[in-house]
Amino acid sequence: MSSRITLRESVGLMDGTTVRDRSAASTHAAMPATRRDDGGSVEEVSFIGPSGAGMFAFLHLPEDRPILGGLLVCSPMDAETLRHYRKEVLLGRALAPRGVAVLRFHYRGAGNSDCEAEDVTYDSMREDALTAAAWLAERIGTSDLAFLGTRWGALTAAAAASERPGAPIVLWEPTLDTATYFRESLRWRRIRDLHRGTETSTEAMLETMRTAGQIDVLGHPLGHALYQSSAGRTLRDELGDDPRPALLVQIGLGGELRTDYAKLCAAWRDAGFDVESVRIADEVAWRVQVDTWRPEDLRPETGELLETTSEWLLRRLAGGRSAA
Amino acid sequence: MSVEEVVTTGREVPVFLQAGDETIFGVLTEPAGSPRGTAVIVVPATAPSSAGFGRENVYLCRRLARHGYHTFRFDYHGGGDSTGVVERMSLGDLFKGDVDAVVGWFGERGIDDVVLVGSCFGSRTALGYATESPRVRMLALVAPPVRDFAMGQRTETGKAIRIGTREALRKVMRPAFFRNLLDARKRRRYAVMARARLRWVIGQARSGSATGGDHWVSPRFLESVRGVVQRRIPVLFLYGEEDEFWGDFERARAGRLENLLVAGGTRVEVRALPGTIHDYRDQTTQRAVQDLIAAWILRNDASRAPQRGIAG
Repeated sequence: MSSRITLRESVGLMDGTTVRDRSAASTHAAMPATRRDDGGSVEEVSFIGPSGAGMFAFLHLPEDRPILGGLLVCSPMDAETLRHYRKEVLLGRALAPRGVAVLRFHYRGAGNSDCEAEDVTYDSMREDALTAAAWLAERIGTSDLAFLGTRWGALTAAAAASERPGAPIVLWEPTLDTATYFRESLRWRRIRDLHRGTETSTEAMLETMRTAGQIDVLGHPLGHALYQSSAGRTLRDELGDDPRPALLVQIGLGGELRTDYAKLCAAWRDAGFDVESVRIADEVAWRVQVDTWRPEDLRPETGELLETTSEWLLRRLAGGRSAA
Repeated sequence: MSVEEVVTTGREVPVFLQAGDETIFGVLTEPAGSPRGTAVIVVPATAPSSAGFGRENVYLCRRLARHGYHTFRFDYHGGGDSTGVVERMSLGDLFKGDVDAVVGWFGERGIDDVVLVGSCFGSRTALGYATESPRVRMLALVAPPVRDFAMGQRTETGKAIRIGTREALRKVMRPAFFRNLLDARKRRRYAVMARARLRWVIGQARSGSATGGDHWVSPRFLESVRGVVQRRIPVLFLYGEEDEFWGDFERARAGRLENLLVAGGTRVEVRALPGTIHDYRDQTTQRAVQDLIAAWILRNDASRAPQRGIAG
């Protein structure tokens, strides 16, 4: 045996941070990199799921206090993650010191996870959310979970939440149906093509998607498998009719709740949901660079979004216990 | 182990490491082949996470790991999964401390031989760092800006130096200009342009013809290029033919930059791919950039046999 060891076997970074050993060939055991935060939380990062199909999982854990419950965060996808990622990081860092364990993950075929985007289907994204939810519940030892989904992630969060009756759900600027999302995606592709001096019809893009397996939308693949498997999905159907607490956050510059969101909230109220809707006045460019860059950490709009969401979740997860 | 092995998260280790007062997050990919004893560190642009804009960092790291490299992708302090707050990002204030933390982390584990791959802000950071560290052996720079500006001011500052004085005057005489002054956002943009134009005019007056008209090129950039050339570090400058920064780079070659590139000889390679590569706005381009970088690193390393693994 040589004296050489791999990083997998090494330990002991600085200031309370560690990398623990993990064997190369195994399934992804929960042997995370950890960071202790002075604010009262611990962060653990690992890959979960089977080897070759692992998912990047970033867990924010409360430290030295009871865990009120867990929150599974289902991110947007494609270019929509670009302007959004840090908000979810900050949410985890805001909630963990207040007693909520927050799990963020990258879908397979995206980010730091395994697999290719072309292979992603609606069901694989739903499975990813269910896997992550089960992992979180086991890790923190409670089935008191809430879900949060942004844009397309709202559909995924709803699909996963539907397996847990009564679980609270937060929806940030949710996509209400897959058809609308894809229409927007194809429109962005057309805008890019026009900018480059070419014009592509929707039919031609769909045909390319069918024959090539995917098309490019602003540097991200839109796969035929996902397109096909997502046909006809709506947020309302994905969540189901079992009443639960729901917070719908509209993020935009409009002065009123948009009609489609208002209708959805009304339908849920009729079905017995405890629904709140909130408007955050913010100009969010979901798929393109914004003109003026400001760090997410210092944007008042982001602060308001995080605080509103945190307060709502703490009320729901605390169940009458102190959430201070 | 065959070099054809598909590298997955099974060979990856999430890592927190300290950089000054902040903790930066990254992902180590361990080599699938015989370890070369070289770390390839991806110095990021301003992507939201260590994965990159369209996973380009993931693909590059896993691909090079197949060839025996330890690879590492990370988030700057204040970004992605790292801690801290960055109030302003500017090419005048590069995040060399973060790169130094990663290089030091590898050094503590017995790997002192480093290749830096940077994109945009990351390419300038990598270039600036390379002049200060004896551990950097190669540099691949994707779309490095040759002038300095703060994040969010690229377009305005670029326009300000390219526009002719006559055209500028004509624009500010239009009614639309005065209407736009009522809009706070447009007013801010005009202010950025005006300041950039003023700096350009002052620079031109001060430099005369001594700099070949390249007074607008970042002195820090030129100094760094001079530094890596003097240290005989192989450098790849990679642009898209339609990148704004490629136009700037070509214009800068009318001045002092050209002499530096010539002095670098065959160690300096300048390539421009069709289309745009800045911001990685399509997958075809992303893959082409990765192909070229991987091939360039392997070609430069061809004479170096696989050496050793990581020390305990």
